[in-house]
Amino acid sequence: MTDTRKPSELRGLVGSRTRTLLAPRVTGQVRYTDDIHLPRMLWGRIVRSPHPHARIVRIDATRALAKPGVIAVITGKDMPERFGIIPWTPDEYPLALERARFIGDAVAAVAATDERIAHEAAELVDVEYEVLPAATDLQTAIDKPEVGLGKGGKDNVSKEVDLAFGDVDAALAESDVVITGDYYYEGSAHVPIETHCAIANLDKNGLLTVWSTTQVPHYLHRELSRVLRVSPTRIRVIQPPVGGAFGGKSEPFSLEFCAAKLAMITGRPVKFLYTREEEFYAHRGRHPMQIHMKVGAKRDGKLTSVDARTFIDGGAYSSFGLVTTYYSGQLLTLPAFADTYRFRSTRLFTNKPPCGPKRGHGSVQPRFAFEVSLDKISRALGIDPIELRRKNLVPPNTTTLNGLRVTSNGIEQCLDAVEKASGWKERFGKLPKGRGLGVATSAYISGTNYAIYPNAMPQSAVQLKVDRSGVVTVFSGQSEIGQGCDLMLAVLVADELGLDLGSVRVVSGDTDLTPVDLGAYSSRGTFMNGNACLMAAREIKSKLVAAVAEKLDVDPRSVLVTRGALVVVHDPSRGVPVTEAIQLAEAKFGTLGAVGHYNTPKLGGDYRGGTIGASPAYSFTAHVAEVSVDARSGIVRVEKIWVAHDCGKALCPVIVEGQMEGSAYMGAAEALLEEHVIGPDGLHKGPNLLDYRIPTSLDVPDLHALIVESEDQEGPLGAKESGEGPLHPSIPAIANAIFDAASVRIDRLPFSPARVLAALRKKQADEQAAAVESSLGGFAPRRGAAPPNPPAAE
Amino acid sequence: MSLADLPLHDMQRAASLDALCGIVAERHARGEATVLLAGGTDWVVEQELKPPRGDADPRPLVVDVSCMAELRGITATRGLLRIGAAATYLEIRRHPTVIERAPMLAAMARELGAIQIQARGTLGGNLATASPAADGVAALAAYDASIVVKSVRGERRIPFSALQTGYKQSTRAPDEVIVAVEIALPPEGSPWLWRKVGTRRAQAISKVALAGIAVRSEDRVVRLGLGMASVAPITATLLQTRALVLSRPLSAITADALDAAVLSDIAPIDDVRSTREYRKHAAKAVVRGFLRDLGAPV
Repeated sequence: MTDTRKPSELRGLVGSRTRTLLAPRVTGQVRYTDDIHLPRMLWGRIVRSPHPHARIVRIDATRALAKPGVIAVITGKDMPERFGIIPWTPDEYPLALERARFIGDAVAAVAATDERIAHEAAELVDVEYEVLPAATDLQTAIDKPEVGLGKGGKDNVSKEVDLAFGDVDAALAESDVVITGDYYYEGSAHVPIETHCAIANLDKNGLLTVWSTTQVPHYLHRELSRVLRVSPTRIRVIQPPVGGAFGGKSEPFSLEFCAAKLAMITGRPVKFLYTREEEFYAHRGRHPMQIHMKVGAKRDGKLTSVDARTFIDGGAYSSFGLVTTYYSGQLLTLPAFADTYRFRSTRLFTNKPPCGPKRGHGSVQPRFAFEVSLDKISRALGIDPIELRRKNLVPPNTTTLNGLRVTSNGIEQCLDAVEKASGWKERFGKLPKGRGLGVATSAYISGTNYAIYPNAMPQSAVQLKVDRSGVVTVFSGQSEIGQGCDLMLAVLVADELGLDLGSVRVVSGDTDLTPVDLGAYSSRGTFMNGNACLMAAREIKSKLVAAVAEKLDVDPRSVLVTRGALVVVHDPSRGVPVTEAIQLAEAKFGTLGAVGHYNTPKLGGDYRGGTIGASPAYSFTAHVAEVSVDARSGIVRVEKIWVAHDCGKALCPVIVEGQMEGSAYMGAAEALLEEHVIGPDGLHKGPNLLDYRIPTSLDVPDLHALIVESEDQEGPLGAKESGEGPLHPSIPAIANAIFDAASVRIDRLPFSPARVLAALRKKQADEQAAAVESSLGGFAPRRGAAPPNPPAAE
Repeated sequence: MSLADLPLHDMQRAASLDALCGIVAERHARGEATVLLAGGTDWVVEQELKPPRGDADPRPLVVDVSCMAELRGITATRGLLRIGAAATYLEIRRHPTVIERAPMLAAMARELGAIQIQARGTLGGNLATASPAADGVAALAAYDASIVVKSVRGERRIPFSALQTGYKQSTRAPDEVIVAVEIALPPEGSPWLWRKVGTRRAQAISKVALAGIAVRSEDRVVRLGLGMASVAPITATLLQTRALVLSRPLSAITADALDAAVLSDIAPIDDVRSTREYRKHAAKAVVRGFLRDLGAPV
């Protein structure tokens, strides 16, 4: 048996100090945006549309302005400039100019001396609306494109992608089995504990500072400049530590513009803090998707073709929708795939809170449909579902059907790990009725290969400042949103320079202090920011080595960095403590500092959209879920999830495991509990934490995180992402386990007790009807005309 | 509003229960509203949902009763358990007598909301706001509790069966203060059930919740209490179901008859937490489960 410790532990990268760095988070010492109170600060409140679709006829702020304590009211006319995270599709105004497009759309904003007055004053802003017909569900948007946000035809189409690789029709025709299914993936919200918050202040020198709970300070900096028509040199964006984001804070929102504008008008700092209800309406959560999918296979299990037709409910604005639409197909070609592929996806506008990126942007929904299809194929062909996947794996160091360059690939080890840990071979198909196992796999990007706005500059950068006391400070544009990117940087620097983790400080997310990084999205942090940081640390390291070599009069190639000291390789008794090495280097080279950056190689398929899905590395995941299904109540309980994830290299295993567990937990919640449902009236069905059901600790299954390390050649010390990938297989693994437990397919999320019970009853009725039919020797009535309660066949 | 907005209201405490009854009566006579605030777990949420009031609109007087001695305390004498209207669920679930003699009540309080809600919420408050989804009220229905109310006219007891008249409507007069609830304790060791079907395992409002108490004598149930939350405009007392069970030996109760009785006792609706159909199914299933435990072949 080999050493059971994880490789990273062997390298001594992390120890108990990890917890020291995380302590402020769990002991309430982190200062979040809402903890900031500035002298003379005003409170802002957004006036929101009560109609899902309406023309704004007139806004009268007279009554609000007459209220004592109200300082200013602004409307769309104060900022008549469109914005949007994707430069090609700017379609939002900070405050709606002519039309409100969903209930909750921002139409005006108030600044007052305290929060209560601001809330009350917002109710006193009189807005006259001309109510327009609304499309509040996907089917209406498909069937009646003239209702809602379009004028008919393709006018309400946000984006359409139609890509084909190989002759799909021929491949399907030659298949021995073709599984056709209709899947519906319900929308869900991010539900960060910290709701959106922004504060703006204009100082005497004309510098506008905006503190925001954003995941993308750099993009926010650009958009503030454009919309406010203020030079970027006069704007500073500070992103304090964020209390959870999950993709829900990765574009500019109304509150940042409104805080800034009101600060400019009033000359006083202004704070906006979204209520929980506003958070649900600001949304940008998981897109509902309706997926029609065909998957074909040969008798031996080799997949021949995948053909998908998908409709995406986009909500009222574009957000990242252009990218979402590509992601609804592009990432399916890993880790196991067919010879031919075609997908056509259409994102439609509806009069609902806009959807956007949520952990596993756009690719979680098709993953559900595909992995369930694979399970159906395995049943049809009598092939073990893990074996079926093994037969179709895309190997390492290759290119996929749609042009994705794959380097390191640990999916086989992931499958092996979950198969072994779950006792799959001994237990699959052999559990008692009502209990079952299901498997699913996935792959995900370690950062999108291209910046949101095309440019040749680095995607990520850091600066290192080295103090002669032995402290190294990392200045990084990355956004610490609770995912641990500050710790990741500290680990890399400490490891490279032989420092204790406590001697590395990280300053991040401040456009005045830190170099540009594009933000905390697309799982890019570790790979891109980590590589930038390594580049800078290695420059410092070479100077320390040179200075020590000179002092000890040895060849620099024989100087080795160890924990706490630089020593001579063949004579470790000769060495210099790191702090002394820093001082020697400062004496020799002058003040120590370094910059590092990362940019991606040119990647992607040679077709329109071929760059979307391209990434310098892919992570891989396999899940096995064990569920119990109670036939009496329809209640599904996830008893255990084994999740194996190839993160390249676990720079900080405790954080990687946390990301894997958090992903599996969030996926299980989408599978069983969460529903972001908007009624026909355009109102959210439960915009609060009582009715929107995130799981409590009692609802969480037993999670087993199994780290797999494939050592990526281009990743920092071999590392890849772990924040989003591990979510994907959760949902199909649970769906497949439900089938193993109860022989019913639930192709629509969530797998609620009522839905599961209905499926169980339908199955029972079908079986009874079939039994009656066979007992009548072929003279039975058609199934649809069968008596409602056929006698049970004995 | 939030608790932080409470200072916007006129707030006071009363020196005694009599004084409190006096304040409520006087204001009622003048047509003015008085809110008796215990934990605020219902009332504060209700305020949030109300349309905003103008500055000139009258706000109700809020009287904080959470510390009033006459409304607190849990005592048991000669088979009668008395729980003060302002005793919190946390006090209820931790009280040795409740745990020993009314274990169903303790089990209910344990599953009610989060610990913060348990530390504030009270039976008196849930009776006053009269939500049919209140778990505590369903438990009281099963115990056939009496509600002790007091006004300047004196004290009286309202049997649970005579309390609720419609959605959030009751026979308690507007000037009557809820003082306590009284439960005639069943014999020690009597079978009981608390079954909450929620949207998650904790911190959920019930899709359906069943409280059950039974006293059995050989093949018959001789006392039966049932209360069900979230299946009708008022807390369901399942009178048809009780009558069916009490009318015949356990061995003669059939699943079909039981299901029919349950369906005749409830009128559930579709909402964000569940569907009408699922609630019907769950109601039947939990009642069957209780009767099965008692020995009925259902």
